[in-house]
Amino acid sequence: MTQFIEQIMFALMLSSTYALISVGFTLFFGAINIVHFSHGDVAMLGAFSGIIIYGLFGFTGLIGNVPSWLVTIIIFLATFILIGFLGTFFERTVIKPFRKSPLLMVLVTTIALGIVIRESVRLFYPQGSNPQVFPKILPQMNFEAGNLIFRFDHLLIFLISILLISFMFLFINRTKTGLAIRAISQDIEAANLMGINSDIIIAITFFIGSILAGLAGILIGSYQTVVRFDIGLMGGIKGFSAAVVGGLGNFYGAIVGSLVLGFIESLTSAYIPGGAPYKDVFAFIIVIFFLVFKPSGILGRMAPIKI
Amino acid sequence: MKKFESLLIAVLLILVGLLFIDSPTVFSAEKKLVKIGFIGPLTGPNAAVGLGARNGADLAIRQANERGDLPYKFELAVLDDASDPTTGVAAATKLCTDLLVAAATTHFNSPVGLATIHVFHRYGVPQMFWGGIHPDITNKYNYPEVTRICPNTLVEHNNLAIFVIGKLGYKDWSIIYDMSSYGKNCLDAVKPAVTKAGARIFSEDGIAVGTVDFRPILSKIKAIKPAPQVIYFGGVVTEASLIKIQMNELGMKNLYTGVTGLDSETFNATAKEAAEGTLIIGKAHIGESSPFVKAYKAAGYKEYYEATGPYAYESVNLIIDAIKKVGPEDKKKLAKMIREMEYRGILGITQFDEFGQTLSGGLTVKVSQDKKWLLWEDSEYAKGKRSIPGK
Amino acid sequence: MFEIGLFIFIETLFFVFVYLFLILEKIYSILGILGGIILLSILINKIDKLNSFLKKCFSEYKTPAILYGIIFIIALPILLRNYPYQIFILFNAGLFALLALGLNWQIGSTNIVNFATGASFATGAYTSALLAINMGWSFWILLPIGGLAAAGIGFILGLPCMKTKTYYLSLVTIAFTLIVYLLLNNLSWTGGPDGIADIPFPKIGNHSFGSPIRLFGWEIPFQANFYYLTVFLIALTFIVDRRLRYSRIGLAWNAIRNDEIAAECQGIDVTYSKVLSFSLNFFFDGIAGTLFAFCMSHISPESFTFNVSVTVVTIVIVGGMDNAVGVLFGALLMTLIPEKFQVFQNYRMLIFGFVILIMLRLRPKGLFPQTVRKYD
Repeated sequence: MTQFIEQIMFALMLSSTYALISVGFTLFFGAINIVHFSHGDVAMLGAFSGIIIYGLFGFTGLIGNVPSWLVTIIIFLATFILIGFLGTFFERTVIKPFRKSPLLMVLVTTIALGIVIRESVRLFYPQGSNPQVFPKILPQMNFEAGNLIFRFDHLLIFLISILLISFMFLFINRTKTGLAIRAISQDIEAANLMGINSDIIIAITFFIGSILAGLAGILIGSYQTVVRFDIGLMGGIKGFSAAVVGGLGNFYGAIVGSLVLGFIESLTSAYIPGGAPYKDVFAFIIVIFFLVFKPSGILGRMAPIKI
Repeated sequence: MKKFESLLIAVLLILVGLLFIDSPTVFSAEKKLVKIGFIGPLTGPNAAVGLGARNGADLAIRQANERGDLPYKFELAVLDDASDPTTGVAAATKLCTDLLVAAATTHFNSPVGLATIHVFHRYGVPQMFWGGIHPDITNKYNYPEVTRICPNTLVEHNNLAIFVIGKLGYKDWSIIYDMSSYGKNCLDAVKPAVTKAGARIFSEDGIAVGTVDFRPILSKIKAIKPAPQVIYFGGVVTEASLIKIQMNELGMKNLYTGVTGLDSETFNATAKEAAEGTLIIGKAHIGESSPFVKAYKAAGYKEYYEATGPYAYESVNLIIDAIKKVGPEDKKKLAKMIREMEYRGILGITQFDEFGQTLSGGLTVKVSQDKKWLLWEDSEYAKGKRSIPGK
Repeated sequence: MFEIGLFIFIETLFFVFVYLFLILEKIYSILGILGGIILLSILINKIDKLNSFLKKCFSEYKTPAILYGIIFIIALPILLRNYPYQIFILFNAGLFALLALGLNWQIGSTNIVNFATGASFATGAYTSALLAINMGWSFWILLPIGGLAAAGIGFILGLPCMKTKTYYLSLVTIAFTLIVYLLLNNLSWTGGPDGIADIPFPKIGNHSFGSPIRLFGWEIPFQANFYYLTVFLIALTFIVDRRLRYSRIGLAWNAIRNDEIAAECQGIDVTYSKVLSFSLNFFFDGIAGTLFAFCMSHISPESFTFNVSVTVVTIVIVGGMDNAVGVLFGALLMTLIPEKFQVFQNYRMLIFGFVILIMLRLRPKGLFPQTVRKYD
């Protein structure tokens, strides 16, 4: 029984890591109709920036002097800002020029952008082709209940993920800027006519999405403890799959999709004998299955992103 | 748009101008230029290993040129196979049709090697494998051009069985392997090796390369009663270190073991404290104070030499030694010479069997102590000061 | 007279460029040639006189231009007889061209972004390889069979997907490719990660494709055998493309691309057209796969990853959707450049990514953009 509970916990954690990425995909698609193929790589950049900033602390000898909770907060904030701006920078240079072009162009440019990001990290970060250890920035306590070991940092990661996603949800649905984003997703020309500066709103959307990705990178890095330059590729595909299965453009859908994917992967590797190498096969077969029967995703596309 | 375009045009004009610059020629008048080819994964998921090997090969070339005792100037012709067979075949074709190339040292991924051996055989160019352990590379076709300087998995796993089962007496095993050619080969080698030595296999789990979350599988193994003493992993460093980290997270105290795929300082650097007590069959022990490591550091390469760097280094030295004896022009003679060589170097003595497989490869037993791989004999575990997990 | 002379001169210049690009090795030379080509395209874009001159020549002197091009393509291996590596990478480029031309019908003509090329390519390759090894069938029978097997898979994939749209459909194709790759890697009868070895070379009469071509005292490397076959198949595909474009099917596809509901209202059987595009695309992918298997004589799952699909999709989009010539150029560019960039060793993928971004920035609608139908 305890084994089962443990497996459920792992499945939930895996789902939350996918959810962080898939919510970003859904945001970009819902708001501006763009599939940002390199979103996973932006998350990877978040993880790496966490490592770099932590390293800076160590480098400047501050590590002993600054209380660790402060270090953690600084890492979160710095990544927040850094990746937010980096993501927006990518949008301005790579995605914006193609606004008038066929949508598929953006797909290719983001694919190429992904290549550039991955290769840059691999080449310019020292020992970039090797896995990198993510620093332990969350408290490492354990609780024991019977045979189960609960890790405090995993719990924190899970809670922070939920918080982040909720914040974003509230932002989109309860603020004026969020209203503007929703307006643009409905009809960009009408929104412009209403006095909304769509250019800036798009930039803001990317800023938010990238922040989410950056922080996702830190959380995923903390959970997996090891990151590599290419985790963004598969992570992006899984996050995209989760978003689509749930219904692209639908917030709740992204979460549902992540749960579906995370649970199937985890449970098949644990409970189907000889199933572990096929866990992705199962996950993707279920994806196809859902799409065949629910062609617009489980919860369908909501236009606009509803309250 | 205007500014971007003018900038681009300026850059392009400069580039076109470069076309007309005479590139300096590489060889001097007196010495004959001899190229030795290198093919390995310089991009892609195995880039760390490929770059380390390239640097090892490069070091050997540099040293040979510095010694200057031969009438040749050596150059390393480096090509990337990106772990992809088609790219590998293109690279092999390029090297084999370049008349200045005397021989080549190749590959980390066996599937690429299995495709390129036909190319090297067709053109008769000697090919030495510094990585890529699939038995078929040497045994299936027995091409006279092909040799392999690293040990193959059958020998590795026999050694593992002898040590862990024979010496330590651990008979209860759980096996995890990755779904690459290498991982499959490990699985196919470890099962007969350990069952022959009297072990029982409690579980077998394959994982896709690139998996990062092993907790479901480990949790399942944790629930096996009686608990297996050994958890074996057949695969490479990234997954191996993640497994060990998560094993510790789950409080699992089984002995973690593997073969040369784990023999890399990256394992220790990634798993850190969690790596403690991991036992493996390792590649030849190249100590920090050995001339190879000193020269490697002095040359200032950006990447670690990983486990395969010394093998690539040795392979180039062996090739150069063979060239010293029979010259670079007659490739058939060169291939024959390489096959018959008995070479003494950083790996000990290297000699090839009738299929071109090295007889020794310098295998050792290593244990991870304080985040470093130490020879078993030198460790505190052997002396009984630390106790090996899995009891 | 002067016009045609100038035109032939420009075309010859272009061929010389291509030849040099293939042969030259040093970094400066490759960058220089690449820079020259990009410079030329910018100039052609900017200088209107040149632009309209070229357009006029193309429409007036189409036949001699194409004939000249064909002669060059046939003569190329003879010019490259000392460079087998170059012939090999041209063959590889040709394979990708076949894949991309097939995909063009889906993306370009019907706007279905199909990421399953890796899977269809694999199906053709593995089917023919397995049949060759286990049943000893000849390459020439296996060529269409590989295509049919892949088309069958396309049909199976296409049918349940008819209700799914655009991005959802893309995801299904992505999932499908990943599933096929994983299955090929894990199942034992596909050879697992080691794949299938010892696929024999095709034969025409007594001439094996594994031996060089002896012609007029020249010895042309064996890779040329595959090169010529590929060129022939590409030509065939071009003809099929032409016939399709001006047939009811092509019209139906473009109608669906423009507005699916309107098309259905016009009486076009949308499901049939879509499934047809899947099957046709996969058929040619399967043929390419068979060619690939018999040239490499050893295939493993590593050659059929999701990356292959991404590359082919990129080729179609960069080259210009719904435009066969553009796609062909795209294929050449996207396969030859990474190979020539070997000189940059481990920096080559980074530089390649930048090159794609720059190319797209310059031609946001694709190298040879989607053409609007001429109605007359």
